Amino acid sequence: MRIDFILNGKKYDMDVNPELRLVDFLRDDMGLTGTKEGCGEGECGSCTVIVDKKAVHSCLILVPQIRGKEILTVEGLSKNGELSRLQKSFIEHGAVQCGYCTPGMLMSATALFYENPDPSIEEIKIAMAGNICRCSGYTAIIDAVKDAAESKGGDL
Amino acid sequence: MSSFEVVTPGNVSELVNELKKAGKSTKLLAGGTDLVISLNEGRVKPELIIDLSGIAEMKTIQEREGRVLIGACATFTEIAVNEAIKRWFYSIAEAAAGIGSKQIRNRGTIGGNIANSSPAGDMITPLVSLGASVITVNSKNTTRDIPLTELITGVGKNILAADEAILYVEIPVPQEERMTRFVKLGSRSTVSIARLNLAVNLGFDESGKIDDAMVALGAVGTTVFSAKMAEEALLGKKINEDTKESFAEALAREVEKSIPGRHTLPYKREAVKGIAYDVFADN
Repeated sequence: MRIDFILNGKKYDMDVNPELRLVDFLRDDMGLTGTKEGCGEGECGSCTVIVDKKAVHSCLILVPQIRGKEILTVEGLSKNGELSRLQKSFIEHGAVQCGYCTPGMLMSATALFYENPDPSIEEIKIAMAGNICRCSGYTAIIDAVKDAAESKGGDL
Repeated sequence: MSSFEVVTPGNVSELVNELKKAGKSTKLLAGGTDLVISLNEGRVKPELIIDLSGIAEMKTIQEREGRVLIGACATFTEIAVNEAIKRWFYSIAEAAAGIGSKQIRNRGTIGGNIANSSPAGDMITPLVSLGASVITVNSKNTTRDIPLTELITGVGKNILAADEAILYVEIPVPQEERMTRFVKLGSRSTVSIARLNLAVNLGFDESGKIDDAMVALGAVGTTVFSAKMAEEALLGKKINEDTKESFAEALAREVEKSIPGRHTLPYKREAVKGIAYDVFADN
């Protein structure tokens, strides 16, 4: 099946296997292994990517459904080799332990900033409720998001 | 995954054409939050998948001739923030805002929630309390208007034909101000499947007495149902502590009647009283 889409800012028009889930397509066909699969049933949030500015589970999308859409993965967050403000904030706060949930956390928080550049702690918790960290480092993660929102200046 | 074909109709007339090819195993794909899991786990093996996500008219929410029409592919996120829905059917907005996680709400659709016909489907309970119906189309371009209570017949079961798709959910706009609320009880506060859910749709006379009551109870038994005893307990009453108590007791009797002998009965018959009070938390 031939589809077009934008992935991390780059336009594609290519033949895809329509039976693949987006997470498999990203990792296996596009070589973008930053997106992690956890549960495979939309419970853990580790495979979260952004489609048309909204956080979604890449394990629950079939590849034909991305036709004409704009997809952003964790690989697309840095610009010209520089990490995004949110990514830097995760490092500063020690919000990364084993790191498996981190790409999903970053994508959920990035999508939150699109709709709300200065969210409250409560709003952060609602936006991130679908992202599970089994190291249970939630406090540092929420602090990192809050801090990235508050520190003004510069692009995300 | 087994081998299947995916077709992507761009409008309803293309959908009607694709439905001509539909057989027993055909699956309609909307948000994918249930179907893609089943596909990946091999629980369903369709030969044909009809992806509805490219049909713009199935995503619209419009107020027309005394009804609100919600496109079957409107997501929970879109429903939760829609002005017409918040104005007329607060219970629908509340239910949509509380489903799953942000990621699920961004993909999951009202039509998918109905077509999956889960007894715990959070959209179904308020829709039943609001007298909603669905408008469907089939491969012969025939449309049907089916009340939700007739559509869903059991756990995961409904009367939709293999070549039939839900286009819209239709809810009559009330003539006057109503109180509509939705509450649910899960095993944790968010991101959880309802163990119990409850929706009310109440009208009041000039003196503040309830003169019309529709109450729906979900995740108790095989389908969402109208809780008649609970409605009786509210009629002719003002909202006060006595009314809340008799409403809670009536709901406990509804639970006993619906799931006699079930191992969840001792829990649910008590727990339902808690959500009965939650309905009136602001009163």
